[in-house]
Amino acid sequence: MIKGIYTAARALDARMQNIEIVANNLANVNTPGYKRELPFSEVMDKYGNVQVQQASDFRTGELAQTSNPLDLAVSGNGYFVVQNDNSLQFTRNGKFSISSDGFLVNQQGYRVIGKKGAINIDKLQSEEPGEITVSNSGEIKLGDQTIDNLLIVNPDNAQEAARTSGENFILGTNSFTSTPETEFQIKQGYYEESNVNPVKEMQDMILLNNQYDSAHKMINYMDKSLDEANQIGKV
Amino acid sequence: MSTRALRTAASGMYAQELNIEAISNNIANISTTAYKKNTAQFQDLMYQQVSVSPVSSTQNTSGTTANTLQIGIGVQPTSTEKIFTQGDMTQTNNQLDLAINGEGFFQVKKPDGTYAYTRDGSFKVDSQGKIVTSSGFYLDPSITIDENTLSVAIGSDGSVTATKVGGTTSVIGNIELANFVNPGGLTAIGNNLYDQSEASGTPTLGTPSSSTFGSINQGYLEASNVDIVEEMVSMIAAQRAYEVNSKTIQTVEQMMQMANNLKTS
Repeated sequence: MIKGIYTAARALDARMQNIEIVANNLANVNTPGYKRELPFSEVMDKYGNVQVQQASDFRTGELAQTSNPLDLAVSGNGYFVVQNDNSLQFTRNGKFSISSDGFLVNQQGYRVIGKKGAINIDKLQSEEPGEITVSNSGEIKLGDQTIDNLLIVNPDNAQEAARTSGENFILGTNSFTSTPETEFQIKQGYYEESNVNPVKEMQDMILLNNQYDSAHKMINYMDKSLDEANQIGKV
Repeated sequence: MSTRALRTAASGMYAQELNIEAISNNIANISTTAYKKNTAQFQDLMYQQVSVSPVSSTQNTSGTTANTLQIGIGVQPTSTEKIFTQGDMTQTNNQLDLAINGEGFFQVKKPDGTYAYTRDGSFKVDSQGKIVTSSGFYLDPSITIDENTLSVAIGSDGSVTATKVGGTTSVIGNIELANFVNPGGLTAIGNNLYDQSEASGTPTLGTPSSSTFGSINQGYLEASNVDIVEEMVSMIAAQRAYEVNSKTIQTVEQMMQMANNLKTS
């Protein structure tokens, strides 16, 4: 009986944490490149311990058109790679700009990595003015001059990558392979919208709320039963 | 009691509030010459490692510590971005009304000697005959129209030809355009002017109609590029996003209420 109360309390706790995940999805309903997080589920391993399975929904968001030549979207498979100090992170948010020292950077100021390393556009800017164009294969050109090719990668196990701010994922110990050019197209002047569907999230929220309610009722009943058990033997 | 979900939803509501502010500014400037619409940009916040369910009656026998999960704590607005698509051309027949068809900005000198950039070509002449913007800033390179001038003709390449009393014509100056690697990163400073910023890069000056620069059209003004339908749609989306975040708050509040009623008697 007492154990039952703990089990139900555990359900209350898990639903509350799941609501936090849904709340974060809904808060990021307009964040470019945001990938929806699925409410976690608990599974029991062979030792009888409860393990948590957390997953991200990596489906592509809609591509929205802008007039900014430095808004890039990956259509198909793969991620942009950005460098924070010495660690690499990967992201689908291709809202880039030029930093004051001429590097192609993301919204957080992390440098975008090309096949030759960090992409510097400014050096050539003074010598040969021209438009920045990015081809479907990720080749960055300034006027007629090729600067670099964007590095587009696929992490070997994206689900295990930890999230961090700015729609970035930390590679950690994860290895990655560069994506073959046939599997993606870079769209210049587009960005990827968040893949959160508010209807789906509301559905999850209602479901979690009802499950919370059920667990709450269970505790109430068990409390009542324990109370009655305590009355036995009373004269 | 965990209030993380509440704060996450509040961050979402705050972000949508800023979104609405950007949209309302766009709508207010629907008739402003050469106004370029703004869009608010968002980014997700950091993620916290949370251990799952400390309430448990069973002991963890194998000693694994995999029971943590990442929970995001909301959204933050990062910047507003200008969208530099071409506005419609409206005919005015005023000889000093200029519109840029294509890329580029007029360069004007601010009173402190630094430069600002604008696409608003509704120029006037000041008391000394110099061409100024409607807010009184000098066009750069500066062009002076003297008192003997009957009319000026401005070519699509920016050359300014004056017809003087007596019928003689002469070129009195050339209008140059400035272009940026990333015009979306320019800082709007009001009065239809923009300042260069880290994000925009440094300006490249050039002759209109050459290479990537747009052409100059005399007697036209560029209208605002705000599309009222698009703004209304964004407003609906922002309002609904605001609403859905407020629903999160309601739901979490209900759950907290239930938690408070666990003990009934």
